[in-house]
Amino acid sequence: MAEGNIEMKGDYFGSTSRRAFLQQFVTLSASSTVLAVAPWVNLLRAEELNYGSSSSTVRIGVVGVGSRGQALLLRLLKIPYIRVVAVCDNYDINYDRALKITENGATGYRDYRRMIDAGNLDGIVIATPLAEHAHITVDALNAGLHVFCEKAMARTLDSIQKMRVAHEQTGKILQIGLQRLFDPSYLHAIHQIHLGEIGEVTQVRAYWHRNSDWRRPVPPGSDLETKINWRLYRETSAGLVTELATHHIQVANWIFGDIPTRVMGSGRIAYWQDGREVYDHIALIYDYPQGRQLLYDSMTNNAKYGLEAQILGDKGTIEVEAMKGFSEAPSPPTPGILQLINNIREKSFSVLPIGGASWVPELASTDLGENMSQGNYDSTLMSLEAFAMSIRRNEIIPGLFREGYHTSVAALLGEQAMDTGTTVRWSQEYTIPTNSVNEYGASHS
Amino acid sequence: MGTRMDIVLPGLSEDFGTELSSVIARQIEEVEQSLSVYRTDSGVSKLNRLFRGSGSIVIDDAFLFDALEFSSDAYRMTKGYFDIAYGGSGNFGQVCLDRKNQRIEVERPGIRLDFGALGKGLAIDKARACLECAGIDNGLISFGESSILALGCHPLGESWPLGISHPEKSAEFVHVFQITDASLTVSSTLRNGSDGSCTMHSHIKNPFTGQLVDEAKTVAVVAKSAAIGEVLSTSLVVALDGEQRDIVENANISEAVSIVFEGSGMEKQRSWRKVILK
Repeated sequence: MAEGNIEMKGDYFGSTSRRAFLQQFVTLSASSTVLAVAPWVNLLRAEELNYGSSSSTVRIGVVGVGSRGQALLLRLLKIPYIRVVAVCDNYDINYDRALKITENGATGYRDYRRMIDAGNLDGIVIATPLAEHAHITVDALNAGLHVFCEKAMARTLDSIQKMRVAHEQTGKILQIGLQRLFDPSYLHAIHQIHLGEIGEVTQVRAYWHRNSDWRRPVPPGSDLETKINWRLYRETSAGLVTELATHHIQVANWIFGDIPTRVMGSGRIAYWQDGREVYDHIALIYDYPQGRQLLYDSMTNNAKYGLEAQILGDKGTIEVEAMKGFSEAPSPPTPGILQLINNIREKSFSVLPIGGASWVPELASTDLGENMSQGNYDSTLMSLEAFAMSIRRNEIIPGLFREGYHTSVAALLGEQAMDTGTTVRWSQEYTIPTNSVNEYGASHS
Repeated sequence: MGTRMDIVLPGLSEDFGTELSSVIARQIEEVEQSLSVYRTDSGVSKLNRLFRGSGSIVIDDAFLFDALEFSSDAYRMTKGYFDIAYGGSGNFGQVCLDRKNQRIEVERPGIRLDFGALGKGLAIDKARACLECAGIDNGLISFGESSILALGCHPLGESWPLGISHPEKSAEFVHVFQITDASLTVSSTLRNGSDGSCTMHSHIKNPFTGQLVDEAKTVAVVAKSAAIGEVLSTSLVVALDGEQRDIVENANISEAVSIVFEGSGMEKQRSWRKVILK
């Protein structure tokens, strides 16, 4: 059954905005350069995402329904061919809220093992604190379930490796939640870069500046500080590098079509002297082959500059979060002025023609396109649909796991660099090679 | 002001020309920061927001205050045809300026100000001052080819030859100015499209009758001050024929030409009639 024949559930997003979003993928799938770096685009073209009959409903359990988990749950509930069968959280407030969101349509669990053992699932979505990602993922994969695991994959390199091994050995889907991989804005930018529009790209500069203590409220008198504010403590979090930097490390890997060779950096607690253990200021330099670099910084007491990834080429610049492109070449003069300049050069004394009313000129910057988040439909929704679609097709999307894996490794190597004050080299054991001609590879010496 | 600026400085080294262009750009930036409605944090944008709630406001932006005083003088000089106010039930005649206290008072809140064309003229005048300070004798600065400073002369002549093109036949000039050390300002109810078409730009209203100007008209003014040129050209394009001469009579301008194009707009070649006002 085609999409248009299915009644969309709820009003979180309209079918119109979803169609408009997917139409971008139809356009993007015509680009061989986009397909080379994002082969999933071909799978996500509108005609591929037909909902089919109810027998191909995908049954999902969500583990970890805190802030991010809720956002994922709300989106999952709006995808007609996904049925959220179970929700799991060991924190009462989250547990109660999750059941309420599903209008008690899902079964509630406080222990993910019981959720898995209950069966009746095709896959799970994991949005727990970082340190819990690995064992839940491995257990689920070994139980025959497919897994969507939020970034940044796991707390330690060892855990990341365990997840990789389980994924490879079970052959089950493991998709890491990095939604820019599904963002048409980014795909358009990559397309233009590969067309040579900004020339040779040697540097990506990314930053994420916020002004907030990053704390979540803790019930007074409770001992839940480290549980609720897990992001602030080293046992459970690497802080800004895993929670924020991973997004743009992934982008840089994608832009360069490569993985870093080494990383150096500095992390400090400069402002929030509140007992936290993670840095509130980080600055990282990732070196890539052929001399290219990612410069990244993040801090949490000034939000003036916000969030951006600047892609710098010898012919132009792309600010991809703002969807702006800039040319290094000066803008050409207006026609009358151009004629004047040519006349002067040719030693011709001619009248300069003046046109009609003032006109709005072509600006130095050009928009790369419309904001691709159409209405409420967004790249996170797309990433979840991709997960569900690959479950229905029983196909692992080529290249997708490698993106999430390499990014997660790079983030933790960055943490090491900051902690030790040394340059940390990428070890070959962390490289997933290219498997087919459709997958772009990561090769470096 | 949402308009492109071109700077032509013949005979200079690239370094010096680039440096001068940067200086001029910084001067224009100051004008923008005070007068551009395209910027939400400009002086005029802040003022427009304050006007919603209050009729009496202190202005700490000196350049903005000067521009308001200029606008007030221009309103009187053009008998109300030049009016930077719009919105609410306001016109600039109801504005009172208190220079001593740097205060503006309006009778009815809800008024909004748009410096639009005047901003370009003020910017050109600032740019001219930059060039003269730098000892530049010859140069041309064009804002969207509708506000043009012609300093000194063309390298091959004794003036800058600037011609008003026929809207549909750009090689035909309906009038040619030979300008030295002055600015040319053009206002028109016609707008050229990027496809070469020419249509009426029907947003200009007569402030007294409230009617849209329905003539295809272009007015060009030459004046030492581009700001005054802007005031006159904007007013003259709106003013009725009989009132135009009154407006130019005491104005500090050197030339003014009004050209009315006749034809349906669907014809390929409009005929035209020209009146030399000064």
